[in-house]
Amino acid sequence: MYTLDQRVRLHPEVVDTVLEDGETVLLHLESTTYYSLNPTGTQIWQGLKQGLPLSEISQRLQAGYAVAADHADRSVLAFVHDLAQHQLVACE
Amino acid sequence: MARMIIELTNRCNLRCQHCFAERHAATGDLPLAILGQVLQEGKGCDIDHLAFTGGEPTIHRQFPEIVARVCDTHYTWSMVSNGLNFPQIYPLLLRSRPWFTGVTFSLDGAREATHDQLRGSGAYRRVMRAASCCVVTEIPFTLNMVLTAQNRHEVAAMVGLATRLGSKGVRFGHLMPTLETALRGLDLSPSERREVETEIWRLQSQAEVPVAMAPGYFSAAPFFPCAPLTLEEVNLDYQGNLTLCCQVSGHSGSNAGTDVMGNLHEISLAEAMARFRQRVATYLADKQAQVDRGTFGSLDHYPCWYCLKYLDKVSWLGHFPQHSWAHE
Repeated sequence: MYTLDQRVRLHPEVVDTVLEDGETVLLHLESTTYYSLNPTGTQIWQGLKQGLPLSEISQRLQAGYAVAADHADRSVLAFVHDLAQHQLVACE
Repeated sequence: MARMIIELTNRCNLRCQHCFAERHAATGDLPLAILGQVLQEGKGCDIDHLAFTGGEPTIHRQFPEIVARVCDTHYTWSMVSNGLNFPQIYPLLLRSRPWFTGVTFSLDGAREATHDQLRGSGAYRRVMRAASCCVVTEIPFTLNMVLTAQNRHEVAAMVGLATRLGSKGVRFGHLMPTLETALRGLDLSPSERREVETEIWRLQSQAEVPVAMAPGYFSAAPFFPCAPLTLEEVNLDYQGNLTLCCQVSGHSGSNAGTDVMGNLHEISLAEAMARFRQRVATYLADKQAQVDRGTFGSLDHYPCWYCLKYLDKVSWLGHFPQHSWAHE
């Protein structure tokens, strides 16, 4: 279970590619599985890549999308949980 | 109809261990005027498809204009790339459909360490990024692996990787031995080549994606029907020279111009193609004469090796008397 004060480490065997339309495709080299992130997911992923705590990533979403804090918090945590389920990230 | 392989440039953003030195000597880009000549005359010479190589073709300084001109003149085209800058250029390729038919990425190892050892740190992941772009945007892509002493045991793994990545197939090609590859211990011996070819043919019958070998593999018959010798393919280097074959273009060694038909700065494409046809006829006649004399050796059954010798591009072997290709 992740919390907002945590930082998350990207799996070293994941290659990310940002596309022209603002989406990101992830390729897990160990499983050779592709994942597609929409622009919001891309923004969260970029925050993870920069080593930001989840709380700060949530704040960026709130500023960029004019969403309520609790909504942004839940979105970030749910997204990171999904990434972890697919072994794309792990706790620091 | 035939295709023309065009070396757009001999500049490259990599320095691969096994590449011909001339292919990344960074001395120039193909002039647009020469390309224009090809586009104007090509269809009259039965050429309808262009395949871009290099160097790294996408770093030609006028690559977007080249793509536009090729599409405007309704040639289909494809390219070979190391994939390094693919995330930046793929939008151009999408806009080039349907004339753009696909890309082949050079991948010389199923394992990251193997590929990067030959092509430089980070190169493998760049190919993976390129493949990712293709999968999402549905750009057809294949993989090409040059067989060396460092990666020959990864053939099966490469076929598996090609399948899982969503490629349209994988092609294996033998390394063309040069002074540099000999010094670096990259060359496979003739017997090693036969071993890896056997494995590739086995994989070909089982794989879920097309598996092929580039011409140059062992041929029991002395006359191997490669595309240049069947007049289905011709090569144009970045200097405007029409050459016999892309496999020997830029190969280090003496008599560097023995495979040159003529330069499009000086002659028309039609004239160069006529010379090409004559050169092929002469080559085939010379080869038949050698067969008739009984001097066709065991190593001559590797078609590209035969051509290297025929074109006097193996004098460097004199420095390596113990090299496996120095013995008949």
